[in-house]
Amino acid sequence: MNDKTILNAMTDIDDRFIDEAADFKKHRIRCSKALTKAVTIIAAAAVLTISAGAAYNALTNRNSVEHYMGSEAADLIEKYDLTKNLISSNEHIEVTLDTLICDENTVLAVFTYKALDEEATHLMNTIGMPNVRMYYNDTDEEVYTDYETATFISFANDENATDSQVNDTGAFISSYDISKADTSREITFEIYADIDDEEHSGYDYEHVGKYFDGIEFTVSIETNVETIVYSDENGNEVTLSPISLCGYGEVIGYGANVNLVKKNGESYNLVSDFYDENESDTLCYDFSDENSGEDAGHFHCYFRRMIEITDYTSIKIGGVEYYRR
Amino acid sequence: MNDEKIIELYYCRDEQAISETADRYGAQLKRLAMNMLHDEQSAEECVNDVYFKAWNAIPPEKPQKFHAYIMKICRRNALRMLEHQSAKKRNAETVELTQEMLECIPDSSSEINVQSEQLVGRLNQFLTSLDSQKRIVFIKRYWYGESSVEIAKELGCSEGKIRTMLYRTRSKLKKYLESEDENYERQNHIECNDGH
Repeated sequence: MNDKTILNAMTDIDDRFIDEAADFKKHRIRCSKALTKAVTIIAAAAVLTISAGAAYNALTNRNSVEHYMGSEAADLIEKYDLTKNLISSNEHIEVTLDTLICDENTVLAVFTYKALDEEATHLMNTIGMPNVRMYYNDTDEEVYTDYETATFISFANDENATDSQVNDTGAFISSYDISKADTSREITFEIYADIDDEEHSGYDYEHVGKYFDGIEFTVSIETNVETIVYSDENGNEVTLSPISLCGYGEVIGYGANVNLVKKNGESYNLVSDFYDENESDTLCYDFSDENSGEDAGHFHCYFRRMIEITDYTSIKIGGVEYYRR
Repeated sequence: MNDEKIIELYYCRDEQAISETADRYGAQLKRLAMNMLHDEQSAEECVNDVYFKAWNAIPPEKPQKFHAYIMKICRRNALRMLEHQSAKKRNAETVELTQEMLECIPDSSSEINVQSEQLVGRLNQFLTSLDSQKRIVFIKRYWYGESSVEIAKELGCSEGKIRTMLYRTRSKLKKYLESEDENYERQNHIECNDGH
């Protein structure tokens, strides 16, 4: 088999895929600013009510965070006051921005949604994860982000249950590379719907759009976690935060091992792996292989866990050791 | 004029069928041909040949999905014309496209001879398994030959996001084809043993 074999075979794929791509239209929901502000105010009131008898920084949807990042990460988020618990809702869906973690290069957000009526439940079962758009609040301009990862899970999965009993809650996590963004400006996360297959879902886009009317969060993406810089003997630097490892000079590449080393010699191993089916101990997505031109040699690993970084005095990447400055 | 009526014109041997096809799909055909061939003259030749082939094939053929039908004719034409181009003449974008496709080829491919029909079947299954956005991006790139920049503009996102998505999907396709090769080998081994 060679490249021509696959290219030629591609010609004869099912017609529906060819038409699907040709018929694709980009859609976006825009809601009025007045509506957004009203929703945000209600959300703030809801947050204050929830907070009243509970620990101030306790995650309302701890299970969402734990699912993606582990219980230790949920502890760290509460410990370092990274809990947001911001709610945005309309009559159909309630979405909570559970946490927002920002270092100089990365934004990580965990959202939990809850469908409030049967129609919305059915929709969430059909479309899976909604989309998230990130734009500067002052100009509506989309925030430039080199890479974005997103994962979706729905809770209460039960194959034998009816639509109204299954999957009315779920969560999704989004990570963004913001190394080229202006973090001094407020940004808005806009949640909007997209549909897989109109014929099967029975929805048209305009109908689907209303379910996420007004679901937005306006936040700051200024750094809210510690970032530590390490450098090797040649002056190449890497930046470590609880959620990412970035740098220039040494390309990690696929399958490379990264060791965070404490003063007492204890080390914590990260493995750069794109497709860890188990998603257990393997810890980072690394896009360095794809970078070229001025980005060549730039790596950016997003962690699947959140880690405490204060005790690490050096980092070993492949055969190179970086020391804390 | 809708596809059904255009096909009726072909069946009536009314040459208006060609002009209606050109009106409805000419721009898309030209764009596909240009994406593959990167040469105005070659693309025009390719598209004109599509009309000729469609006229000769319909009837007796009666395509259910006319758009996909003629786009496939166009793509086949373009790939055939590419094969006749010498390596030197090939455009950098075409070379990039074929190099990306190389990444999808399983390591076992030299040992196992997969029939073309089988490969198409596997591709269909793989594409079905993808969510629609990833599938659309994959098809736009590797079927329609659009660049990452063009796809990013259409989807309203960054080029980096598209490149990442394509990279992951290519890796996933390679893994999928590898596992299908393993299953095929295992099945063949069982059948050989049963034969003895």
